[in-house]
Amino acid sequence: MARANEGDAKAYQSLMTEIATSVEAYLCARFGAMEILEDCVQECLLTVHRARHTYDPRRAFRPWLFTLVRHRTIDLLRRSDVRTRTSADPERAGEAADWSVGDPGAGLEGARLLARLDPSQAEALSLTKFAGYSIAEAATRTGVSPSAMKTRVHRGLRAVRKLLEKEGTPT
Amino acid sequence: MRPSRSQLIEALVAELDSVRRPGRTALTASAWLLGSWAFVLAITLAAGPLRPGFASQLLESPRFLAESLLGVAVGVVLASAALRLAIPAPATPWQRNGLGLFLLTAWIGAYLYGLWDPALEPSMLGKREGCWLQTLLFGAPPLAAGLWLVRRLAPLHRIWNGALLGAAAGALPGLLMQIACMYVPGHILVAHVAPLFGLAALGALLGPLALRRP
Repeated sequence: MARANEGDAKAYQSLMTEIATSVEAYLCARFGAMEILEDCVQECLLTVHRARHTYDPRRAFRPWLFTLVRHRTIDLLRRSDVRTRTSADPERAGEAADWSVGDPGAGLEGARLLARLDPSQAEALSLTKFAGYSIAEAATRTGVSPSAMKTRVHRGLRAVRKLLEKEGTPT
Repeated sequence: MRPSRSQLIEALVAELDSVRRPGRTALTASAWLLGSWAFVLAITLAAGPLRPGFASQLLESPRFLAESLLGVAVGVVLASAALRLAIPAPATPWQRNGLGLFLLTAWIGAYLYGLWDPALEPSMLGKREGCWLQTLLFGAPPLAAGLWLVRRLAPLHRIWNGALLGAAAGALPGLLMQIACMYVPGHILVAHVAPLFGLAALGALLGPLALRRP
């Protein structure tokens, strides 16, 4: 990163490629193969690019990087627009719906971090953030009121943020 | 249509230019503090004279001197913390700002203790009309300048950043009122220190509006 900040394009290209791979592995291990994974990875790359002037070469790189990644991921989950995108693409919408129909927990396979949440919060996040259901639809599916679903999503996101902070920087 | 990952990386590499190293937050904080000090001092003097005899009070009363130095420390540490918080790092804002919050509590604690046992003989000497409003108004431009500085970094905790900048900005005129206005601990708490919280609240409100996450 230090070399990239001096304008070394080759070093920057190689760094961004490595970052993309690391971030993908990091997110995949925590959230599973979620619908918005590629969006998250690309947004994280953009964030690193925009914040690269704040990297101090006297400090370790990974804590700086993964602090940005954690915040960006939570931001993206908060304003996840999976619904809009999947609706525009019927094939993908079908996939997204199949992903969690019946047993929403099935979609959490491999999502180590989500599996550590309270089951109702994990289900709420799984339906609204990853499978693309609206709050009202997810509420109907699970038989709770929309405001209860909203609360579960909000608490789920807060729990995810805390778990990510607690986990610290991956090695 | 979303670009592929490799297209994105190529585009980012294409717009790469060399950047200055940011690790000098202490220097930036010092520059902001010095500039803000100069501004607050000038405008305070323009608004009215300092309290007669404040210099001898500083020399003769160690507690009054300690209170004043504590106020200086609050401004310096909070300003530094606000800028450091805009550099991504894993620690939480509470962990990163513990010292500043501790000093602020100690500063307020010193005046609270002064309600029973004041450092100086309470007196109306030097009383300024509307000193609370002056403290609020004089702290606003440094807050705006601080937000502009932090905006150029990568603020991830925008409410915290705004609140810390507001508190640091409010500490400057609040401290100066220590020698520019009358010395009565109750009055100091209400009219000189409380506006600091008003500016912190204003900063917390402005933070999400004025600062952008990277």
